This record gives sequence, C-alpha cells and structure tokens, in this order.
Amino acid sequence: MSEVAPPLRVIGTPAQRMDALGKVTGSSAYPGDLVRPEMLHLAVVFAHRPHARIAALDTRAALAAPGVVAVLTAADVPFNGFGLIVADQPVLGHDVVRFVGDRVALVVAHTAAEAHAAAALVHVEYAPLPVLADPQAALAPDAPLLHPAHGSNIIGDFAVRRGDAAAALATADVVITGTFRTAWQEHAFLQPEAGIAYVDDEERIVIETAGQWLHEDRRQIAAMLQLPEEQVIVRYATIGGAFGGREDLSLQHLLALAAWKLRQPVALVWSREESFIGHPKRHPVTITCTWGATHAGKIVAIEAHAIADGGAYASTSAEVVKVVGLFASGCYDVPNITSTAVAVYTNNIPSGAFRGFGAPQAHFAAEIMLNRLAEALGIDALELRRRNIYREGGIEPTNVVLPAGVSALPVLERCIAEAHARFAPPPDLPAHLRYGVGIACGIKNLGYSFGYPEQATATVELLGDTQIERAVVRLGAAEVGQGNHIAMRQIAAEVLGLPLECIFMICDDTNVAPNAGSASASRLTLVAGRAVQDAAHAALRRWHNEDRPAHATVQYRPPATTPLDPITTQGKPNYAYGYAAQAVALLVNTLTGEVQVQQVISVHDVGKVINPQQASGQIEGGVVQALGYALMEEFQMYNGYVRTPHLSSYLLPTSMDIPEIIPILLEYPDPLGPFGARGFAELPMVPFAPAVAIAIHAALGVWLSQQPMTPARVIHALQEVQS
Amino acid sequence: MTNLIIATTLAEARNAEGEFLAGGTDLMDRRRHHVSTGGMVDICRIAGLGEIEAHAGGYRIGSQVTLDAVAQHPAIIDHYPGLAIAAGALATPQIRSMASMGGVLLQTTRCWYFRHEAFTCYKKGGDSCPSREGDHRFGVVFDTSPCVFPHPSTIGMVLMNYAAQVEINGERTMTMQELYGGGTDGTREHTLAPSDVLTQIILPAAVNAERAGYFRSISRARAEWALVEVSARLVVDDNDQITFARVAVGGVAPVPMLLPTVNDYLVGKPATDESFAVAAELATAGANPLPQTGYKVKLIYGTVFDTLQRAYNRIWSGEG
Ligand SMILES: Cc1cc2nc3c(=O)[nH]c(=O)nc-3n(C[C@H](O)[C@H](O)[C@H](O)COP(=O)(O)OP(=O)(O)OC[C@H]3O[C@@H](n4cnc5c(N)ncnc54)[C@H](O)[C@@H]3O)c2cc1C
Ligand code: SF4
Repeated sequence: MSEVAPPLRVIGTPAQRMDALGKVTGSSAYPGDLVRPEMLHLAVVFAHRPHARIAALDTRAALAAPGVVAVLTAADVPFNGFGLIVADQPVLGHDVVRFVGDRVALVVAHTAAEAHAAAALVHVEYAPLPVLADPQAALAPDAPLLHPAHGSNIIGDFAVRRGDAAAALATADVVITGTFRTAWQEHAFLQPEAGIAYVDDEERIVIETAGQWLHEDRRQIAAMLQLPEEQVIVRYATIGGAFGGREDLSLQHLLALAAWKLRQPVALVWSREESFIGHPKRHPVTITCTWGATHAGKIVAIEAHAIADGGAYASTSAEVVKVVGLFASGCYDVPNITSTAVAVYTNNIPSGAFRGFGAPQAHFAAEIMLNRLAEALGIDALELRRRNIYREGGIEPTNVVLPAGVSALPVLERCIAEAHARFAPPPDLPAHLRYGVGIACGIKNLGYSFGYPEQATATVELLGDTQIERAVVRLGAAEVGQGNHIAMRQIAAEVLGLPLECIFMICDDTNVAPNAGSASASRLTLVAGRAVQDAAHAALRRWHNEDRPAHATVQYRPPATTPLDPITTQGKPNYAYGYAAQAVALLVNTLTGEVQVQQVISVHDVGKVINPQQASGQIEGGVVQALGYALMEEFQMYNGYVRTPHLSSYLLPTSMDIPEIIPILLEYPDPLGPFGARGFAELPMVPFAPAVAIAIHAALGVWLSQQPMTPARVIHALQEVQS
Repeated sequence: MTNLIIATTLAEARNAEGEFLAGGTDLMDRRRHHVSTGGMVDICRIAGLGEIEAHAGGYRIGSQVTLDAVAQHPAIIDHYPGLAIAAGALATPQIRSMASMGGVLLQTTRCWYFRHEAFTCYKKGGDSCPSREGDHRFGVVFDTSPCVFPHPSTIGMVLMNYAAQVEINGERTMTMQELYGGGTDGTREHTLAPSDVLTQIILPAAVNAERAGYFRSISRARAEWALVEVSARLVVDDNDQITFARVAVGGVAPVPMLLPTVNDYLVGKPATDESFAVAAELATAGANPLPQTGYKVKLIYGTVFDTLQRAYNRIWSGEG
C-alpha cells in the first residue's frame, strides 16, 4: 500500500453512513429498545417544586406496593453529587430540592407500571423555601444563597477588556445602545432519555444508554459509585439526537446506582415530560450593549453586559458565559471592547450546553446592533460588515491574533452573491404581506476553550497477510446523528488507501475505544479527525517497517489555549473558529403578525467537505432548529415551574414551517484539520435569529429585540411604531 | 388503575361513572398531564352516532363522526363550505382522523395553568385565576368572565356561525349559544351535565350560493390552536353587492363570538376591500384586552379582513 495519492478517493464523496439502513428500516436499537433477562424497571420520583427543604421522606408505602423490589434514596448513593464542571447536583436529593427536576427517590419494580404506581406512593414532606426565579434578583446582596457553600449565587463570570471602550465611546461619531432578551430553548431530541445497566461477569458495572461523551459519563458514574473508572463501562446504543442536551448526566447514573446496589439488570425510559425537566436548556440571556462608530464606518467601541440564568445547578454555565462574553463583538475587529457576562444560580431549570453554546445569544445582540449602527450611520449594513469583519491577522477581544484560516469575509461575500442571484420578492404581493431579506454573519469556536485540556485519541490496527486487508479504527466518539462515524471512516479509508468496507469502526464503548472527547463544540471533525488521520499514518509507517499486525495509538492535541489573565484579561481563548453567513428571505403578514420564512441560504466554510450529503444534512437540521428558536420555541418558567412542560405548549416547527434551505459549502483549508476540514455543526444556529430580525426590519421597518419573534411580538412592535 | 367502561348504549353511558371518551385526543392528553383522573366511559360504540345525513331540510352530523369525515364529505363541502374548510384546517391529519365532532365541541381549555397539575383555578374547582395574575398572553380580548382563557373550539365557533343546534341524549336540542352559555361562568366551557351525551349536530337548511372562508392567526404553520380565528360566510349578487353576511370570531372571548354589527354593516355593501376593512374595524368594537393581549385586537382586525377576502375569493384553505 502506498501513502495517500491525490486526487482524493473517498473524502468528498457522499458515502453512506453505517447506521442509515437500520435507522430507516427501524432495526436500530435505541436505548429504549434494550433488554436484558430478569430486567427490573425504574421510576424516578421528581421534586416537582422549585425550592423546598425535605422535612421527611417515607418509602414504606411504596416498598409495600405490588412488584416493588427497592426504593433508593440519598442514603444509598456512595458519593451524592455529579456535574460536568463541579459536582453540585445531588444524584438523589437529600436535604434541599432546588428545581422541579431534582430527583428525590428511585423506585425499582418488576414492571415499569408497578414502578410508576409505587413512585406516587413515596411520601415526601416538603417545607417550602423562597423561590429565586429571576437572575437579577438572585444577584442582590441580600438574596438567599442557593448553594451556601459556594459563597454566592454567581456560577461563573467573564470579563474581557481590549483598549478603552469608555473613552472611545465618548469620542465616537455615532453611539447606540440596545437591550436584547433570549429565552430558554429545549433540545427536543426525538428520543427521550433511556437506557439499561447491569453488573457483568467481571464485577464491572455496564451502562448502555445515549450520551455525548462516553469517558466523561464514565468518570462521573465512577465517582458517584466510588469505583475505579476501569470498573465502569459506558456503551452508547443508537442515539436519537443530542444537541448538547445529553452532555450532562440525566439518568445514566441512576441506572448505574440501581444496578450496582441490586446486582440486577435495570431499565429506565423517560417520557417526554420527564425529559423536559431532566436535562438542562439553552441559557436565557439578557444583553445590554452600547456600540460606537466613526462616520467613516469604523466600529470603534463596544460595551456589553450579559446576564444568564444558570438555573439550579452549575452544569456548563461557567463556560457558556465565556462564549457569550467573547462574541459580544460578533466576528468584527473592534479596537475597544469591554464585555462582561455572568451566569447566576436560580431555582429555574438548569441551563447548559445547546448547539452554539452561548454564541446564538451573543450574535442576536451583536448582529442586530451592527444593522442598527449602519442605519444610524447611513451606511449599507453589508458594507459596514465588510469594513469591520475579521480578516487574517485580526485581533480578538482578548488581544491575541485570531487563529489562522480566517474566512469570515469570503463567506459573507458568497452569501451576498447567492442572495442576489437567488432571492427576488414575489410578484403581486397583497398589501398586507411584506417581503424582507436579512443577512447576518457568525463565528463560533471549534473545540474547547480557555485552557480546558483538549485532545482526542484514536487507535488504528492494520491486519492482513502480505498486504493490508482491513483496518480497525478505535475512537470513543458519539454518533449523535451528525454523521461523525462515517466521516472518520472516510478519513481512515483515504489515508490507508483501502475501500470503505475494509475499515471497521469501534466507537461506542469505553472499554474498547479510547477517549476522543465529547461530541460537542463542533470539535470532532477537526480533533478526532486528526487523531484518526495521524494514527492511520503512524500505523502505515509501522506496516511498511514490517511491524505487523501494525498498531498505532495517537493522541492529537491541538495548539494549547489559555485561561484569560485575571488582571489584563489577555489570553488565547481558542485554537480554531468556524465562520458562517446566512441570508433569509421572508414574508411578514402585517394582519396576523405571522412570519413565513421563504428561503434560507446558509454559507459555511467547512475547510474541506468530507461527506457532502452529511454536511448538507447538518445545515438543514441546524436551520430548522434555528428557525424554531428564532420564531416560536419559547420554553417558559413561572416562579420556578415549567409553564411549557409538553410539546403541545412548547412549539417546535412542523414540516409546514420549513422553508427552502440552500446549503453552500466553501473550502478554505483549515491549517490544523484533517485534509483541511473543520467542523461547523453549531454554526447554522448562530446567525439565523438575527438574520430573521434583520429581514423583519427590512419588511416592516421595526426592530424586534426579543427572541422568539412570535406574532404577538411582531404586532406589538408594529403597534409601537404606529403610536 | 384506570377504570374504563365501554358503553354500547346511551343509557349505559349515561349511568356509568366517569368522563366520556370519544377520540381521546383531548382527554388522553389531560390524563397524561394528570389533570384528569378517575374513570372513563368509552362512547365510541354507541350506535347511530356515526352518520352524516340529510335531516329536516338541512343536515345532521352524528357526534362520533370525525373531523376528517366532515372535511371530506361532499354534501358538507357543497352546502356548508365554511364548516368543511375549518374541519380540514385545524390540528393535524392524524388528529383530524381521530377527533370527533362531539369532542371538538366539548374539549377543555388550552390554558397552561389549567393543564398543569401544580396549579388550581376556577376551572379546576378553585377560587382564583393564576393566568389573570400571571401570564395570559394567549388570553381573551373580551374580558367577561373570571377565567381569562378563550374557548378552544374552532368548530364550535363555525357551527355558531351556521346557527347549528346540538342534540343531547337523543332527547332535546339546544342552540350553540345555549350549549356554551353567556361567557360569564368561569368554571366550565359548556353547560352540559357530566352525564349528558352530545348525540347530534343539526345544521339548518343551506344558504344558496354561499361563499365561505375560515382563517386563523397562529404561532406556527400547523398543529396549534389559533391565536385568533374567523369564520365568514357571504352571498353576493350579480353586481357584487353583499346580500348575506355572517362573521364569527374565536380565540378572543370565553365563548365564540358572533358579530351581528359586522353582518348588518356588510349587507348592502359592495364586496370590496374597503367594505371588508370597515367590517374588520367594527369587529374590534368593545374589546377590553388584558395587559398582555393587546396585540390580539390587531389580530382580530387582520383576521376578519383576511377571512372576508378569502370567503369572497373562495380560497379553499384555512391554513396560512
Ligand atoms: C396539535 C393539536 C392541535 C389542535 N388544534 C385545534 C384547533 O385549532 N381547533 C380546535 O377546535 N381544536 C384543536 N385541537 C383539538 C382537537 O380538535 C380536539 O382534541 C378534538 O376535537 C377532541 O375530540 P375527541 O373526539 O378526541 O375528544 P375526547 O378527547 O375524546 O373528548 C374531549 C372532551 O369532550 C367530552 N366528550 C367527547 N365527546 C362527547 C360527547 N359526545 N358527549 C359528551 N361529552 C363528550 C369528553 O368527555 C372530553 O371531556 C387540536 C388538537 C391537537 C392535538
Ligand atoms: S381560570 Fe381559566 S384562565 Fe384562569 S387559570 Fe383557570 S383555565 Fe386558566
């Protein structure tokens, strides 16, 4: 076999994913389909109240109920805490419950129906505590502390300073201010949380479920059970979507706890309602900002402050607010920036990871501000973007040069050109329908930021007699629907010069696949892709050195990032960025406030297309999710209670809401990525909502500053300008 | 465990303990959300409730007939086009093929507080309305009742606009207004007793050459109750003068609203956008919106205007 010989054979082809047939024929086993002999069933007793002290907990009636085998409570948990960053969330509540979804007890019975019936008999006496429902109020100096040991209600905060924003604003020709509000968003993946767990012949606890990061799930479960990590095996079944909503543990640890305690296989399948309160949401954020520019169209200063509702537990809030704060200027090079962001504990549902991880909220403010500034300056908004957009060598708000491969401008230019070529107002519109086009840009970091250790490890084994017959690739990386496994297989096949069918992927088991990190932050294509590519090259070298069967394990580490210096706020936040621009054409019905998106152009620099079909699919799915976010999805809480606990009150787009989606993939090679490829999975989510707001403004002349832009808000904005 | 009784006769149904179960698209949802408990009485197998037939110069629709069957029925399409359009426009194809005419009229409020087990309110036997004090963005614009959520039934609004009657227990008939009451009782959506079975819907004689429209303002394209919805029926003469007009609006008051002043205004006017605009303005008269429902006043105007245009132009779709 020889080294890779251009042109590429497999990269860039729409190779069929391994899970395609199973998914379309229904033969794939999702976590809810898994069974084991003698399996018991679990039901979770949730707190269903936002804040209370547990005065008494009586399990006797539940234990006496038909079919019940055990009722587990906090006393049964070896280490009663979990969390991605800090373990501040109890596995089972012991003294205080802090949000409606706190788990208080776990009923184990012979059937799911028996478990649920008995769960209703677990008697918990609660003494209500005051509810902190508003992050601003939770910041007040006399506000009660949700986690007294933490010392304040601030989960995490972020500040960055470049230049002197106050001074620059004082001398800017034009200064505008704005306040923007975004709501929680629910991931609403198709398959609610489920799984099974059992103890195997070697005394290991095995959890088969869905998630986004096998090895992190294992770490937290091992910590909870106080077991060495090798004694815990996490396996992923077919995963029905994730979008960040499976980054935190939801029920995986509960399964592990019950199986370990009872030494019997257990299963748990959540309903949609349980899923709604069982995993964190996208952060609602309020952003207040001031932008200043010169008459010549140079943005000279930005001051921005963001406050995010982190809910009852830390999850990834501390990291999300860094992203919110970092992208206060969107993808524009602004010499003077002061940006702060804070995430606050409240008794609301915890907020955490969701596709875009703070970037959509930041862009909602930044991209609308840019257009408003253009309006105030009398300069075309796209021209204002051109004049200020990040270029190669541009400086980030943290005073460092952007990682190489800055393609923001060509991405924008392509988007503008496509919109000119493809969009036209429909002829003969009735007077009450108004047409508008909006274009917005976006940037999002690829991979972990601010000094968080970043790596992916892959193992490649080459097998055969005189020539390589097949290869086994081991890579612990979740296939959440994004098409990662086929992309990795294509990379291996390309490097090894083998047909795809000769590459065997082992990805879903902590015991047999090394840690490639999470399926999040648009990172697997670049980081895991490099690990596979480098491991394949290393294995090939061994093969050629007659070291057979050849076997190589490579840990790929991208260039290090750093936390920000607490005094100067300087630092290198990220090693790579993705860039996108979107154009939206829509109709607004001025009679009903309805917004109908007609066409969407979504332009992405993907570095190198590995699989065009999967790439387009990612964009289409992302646009649909972004459309829901922009126009109708509004997860609401009322004094700590979820007011939209069902899919009948939390409105997702239906097929009838979906416009024509035109994905455009550009290939400006990323200096780090495998074959130049970089991830982009989050980016369709990033500029979309502001692009819609800009298009609505083009149609009506009014600015909306609260997401989602529902008919009521459209009508309200119209009424305000009319009066 | 749930106690389900399958009734095969009216008498059995009336004597059984529990809430009637027809298509279940509303009831099963409430049970899942733990706001309906106790027994259930399946009324789908009672004979004689599944037909659409000519009756007393008009038509009669059994309460177990599905929305889909109504939307597809040639006689309904011909004689009561506004009903056929609306029945084919609400919810989703799946729901329409399960949902019954009885259930669509007697479904319970969509209020989030009502459908949340953590809250109590007038409609659940309590003595307060958390929606009035809290979030009522989908609430009424004509605030006549202690309960601020609008009536959910599209078909109730349309049938009112057709001056339909309903037959109860196979014995007595009542008007749609009698079925829903005056909109001042905050504790219930209709006036039937728990043991009353709605058996038939009785449509009066069709109006010749009727043009009808149904249209709604809505938060997404499909599969959602309307923010504001309107049924309009018009007859115009050879000179395009309106000779007959019936307009009703839903989503804005505790019970569906007829708009007699709008009807009176339209008759004798030319069927033009100018007339429709005046009519739409008249439709908002007397509105006293809640703090969060002011936008719906504008929606009433817009939806009435749009529906009148659709009716006049015979646009056969109630969907946006
Ligand atoms: C996504 C979605 C969107 C929807 N959009 C709309 C909409 O826009 N407009 C609209 O009007 N509806 C809408 N619906 C509601 C739907 O029309 C109703 O759920 C359905 O019509 C109820 O009929 P059913 O036969 O399933 O009633 P069931 O759920 O079986 O019963 C509903 C109620 O009526 C009682 N009942 C039923 N039949 C009788 C009878 N013959 N006599 C006495 N009591 C009876 C039952 O006891 C119960 O209380 C929507 C529903 C969904 C799920
Ligand atoms: S009284 Fe009416 S509006 Fe108030 S909470 Fe109950 S159903 Fe909702």
